[in-house]
Amino acid sequence: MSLNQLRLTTPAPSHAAEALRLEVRAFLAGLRAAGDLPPPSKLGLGFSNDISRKIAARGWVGMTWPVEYGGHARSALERYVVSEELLAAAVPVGAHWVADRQSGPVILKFGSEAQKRAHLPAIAAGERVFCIGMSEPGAGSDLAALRSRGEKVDGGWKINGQKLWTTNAHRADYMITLVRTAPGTGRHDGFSQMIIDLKLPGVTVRPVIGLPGDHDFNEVFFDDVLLSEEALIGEPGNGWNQVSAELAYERSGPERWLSSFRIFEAFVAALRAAEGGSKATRIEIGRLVASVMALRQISLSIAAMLEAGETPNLQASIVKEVGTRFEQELVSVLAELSEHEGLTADGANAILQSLIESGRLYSPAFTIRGGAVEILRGIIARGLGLR
Amino acid sequence: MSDARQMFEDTASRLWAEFASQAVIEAAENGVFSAALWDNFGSLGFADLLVSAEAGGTGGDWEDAAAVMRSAGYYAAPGPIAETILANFLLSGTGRPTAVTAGLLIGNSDRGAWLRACDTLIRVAGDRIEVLEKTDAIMPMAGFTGEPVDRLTAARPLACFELPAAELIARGGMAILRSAQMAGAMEWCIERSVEYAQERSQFGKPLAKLQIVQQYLAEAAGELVAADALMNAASKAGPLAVMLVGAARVRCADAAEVVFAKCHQVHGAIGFSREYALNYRSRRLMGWRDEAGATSFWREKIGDLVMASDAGIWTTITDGPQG
Repeated sequence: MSLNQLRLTTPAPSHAAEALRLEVRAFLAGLRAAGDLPPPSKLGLGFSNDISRKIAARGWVGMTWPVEYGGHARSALERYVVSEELLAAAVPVGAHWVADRQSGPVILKFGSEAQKRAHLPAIAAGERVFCIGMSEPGAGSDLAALRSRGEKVDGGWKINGQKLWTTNAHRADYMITLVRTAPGTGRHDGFSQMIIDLKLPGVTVRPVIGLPGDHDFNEVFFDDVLLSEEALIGEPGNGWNQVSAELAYERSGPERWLSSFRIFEAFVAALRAAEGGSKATRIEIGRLVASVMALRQISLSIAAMLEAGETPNLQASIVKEVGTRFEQELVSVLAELSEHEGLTADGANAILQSLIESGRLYSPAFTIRGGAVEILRGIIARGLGLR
Repeated sequence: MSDARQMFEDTASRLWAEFASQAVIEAAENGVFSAALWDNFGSLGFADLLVSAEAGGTGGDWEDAAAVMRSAGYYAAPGPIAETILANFLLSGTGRPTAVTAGLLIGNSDRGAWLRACDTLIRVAGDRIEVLEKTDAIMPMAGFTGEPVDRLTAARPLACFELPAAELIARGGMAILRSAQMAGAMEWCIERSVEYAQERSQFGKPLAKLQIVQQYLAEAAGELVAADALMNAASKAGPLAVMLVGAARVRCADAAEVVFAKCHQVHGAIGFSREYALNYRSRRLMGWRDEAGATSFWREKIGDLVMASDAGIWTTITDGPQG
């Protein structure tokens, strides 16, 4: 077996992409000047309908989608550049992120004409929030163990069951949910995806508070929720293939190594103000920067592969496996360096201290969410021919 | 990869496969220079790989050199390969003839690979390239792998050339070439470990069936992909792209630690023997990683660049060529 398939090619620099980067930075400078983007004091993707609408107004939501559905027909590389600029700057993008990253692409790939027209323009306008209905109490890494079910009824479907860890269900409009519609068949058979309007009767959302103390997660209960025929996406029984595609979209982006990056910005700023830090600290900074740069190159290569119409699933698993471990390492190392340099002693650099504390509390989730690293390594091992 | 680059890599691979056998490598680790390997290295144009066609060389670029070095690392090929390619790159602007076998000293170091075998000896320091007279003031010494890293005890300059940032170019060039060599060695180690895990059975089943073994090798593969991605970008940008080149060298160093540890762990005891082939790559991998304090040098250089900048760290990272 040759590892040659994993030698990624860095895309050639693109003037269009670099010009776009400068546009995004100018946009962010405008937000800051207007007081709409205060320096972050904690981690998290954030959530602001207002900022998502402003970003959408610039044409940066649904960037690669066809213009007829409200998209902008731009390249995967351009989309990638916008993504990394927004995430590195800790812009609150949570209100449109999931819809843009995966819900919209699922509808685009598997949905009917009516579904595309009903949802994609609204998502691209930053007006419609989606969340992900996959995990359940008994089905995390083993998603196929899920028990929520969809029963065919006159005029549509009746949904019963429960989803867990549903980020932003409490402030989303719709959920794309994976349910069993044909019980009793093979391990990956009998699943279907439904678009569920979260305002329907029978939908109950309850908060689940995580380590950081914020309300991001939810339990979502479905009690005889009645959906029309049009709620089904794609073919009944094709849910597993569709969700696999959705997971590939979810795993490929730069948020898989940028979650804790804002701590780095605050750390460097504080260190410069404290006159530069020791040699040992600067050596560590060099090591961390090299890790960031390597992850960027992998992500750029993945964007180029997506642009070429490839499906870089193995590469997406790799960048997430390496990236999320780095996110954790960055928190730990910067916490230690801040201590060594005395940056947060006696209440100094309160924002940096707050970011480090937030980083500590978010850390465990990095290597769990969106595909636990153990599962990703299993996927990589299969790619190596070991399984 | 371009056709020309693939051809360079394939030709190099055939060269090492034929002339850098385990016996040749072992002999090299006892100070024996392989004339057969080196004659062919030269006649295939590899010594002048980075010398332009106009100057009578092979006309390859840094990506071509990285491809050749990656292959050299994969095969654990011995000899002053990187040193000769780099020295001739530096010499090609001077009008002096290029070396068949180069002895290269960077900065104020008094030790260089295979000095005893060189026909052209240069020191690159500050903004100057000095061609030194080769005398018998060379003390034979072994390096980490046993291949010679001889000490120059006295030197008389024959000629001196000004080249702005010569030492930085040399360090950057060596960083690119070593990163590539390390990537090649890592690839071999992981491939062999995957095969070994499939071949070796204990408790009635192949090691590959154990999840922990799968996880070790998946982690090692991820490290290689990260290192390779950055090495590719650095070789595209060339030796003066300081941040990119330094980051590649640093990331390869970090990856080497993981790959070395995991591949030896998967191999168990047999991998610890000199008789089994893993050691030729794994010892070289760590020797290159630790060579001349380069890992710390480049980490500190990047750290200094970050601290000297006024821009945020994201801007500093992304504003170079391809970041």
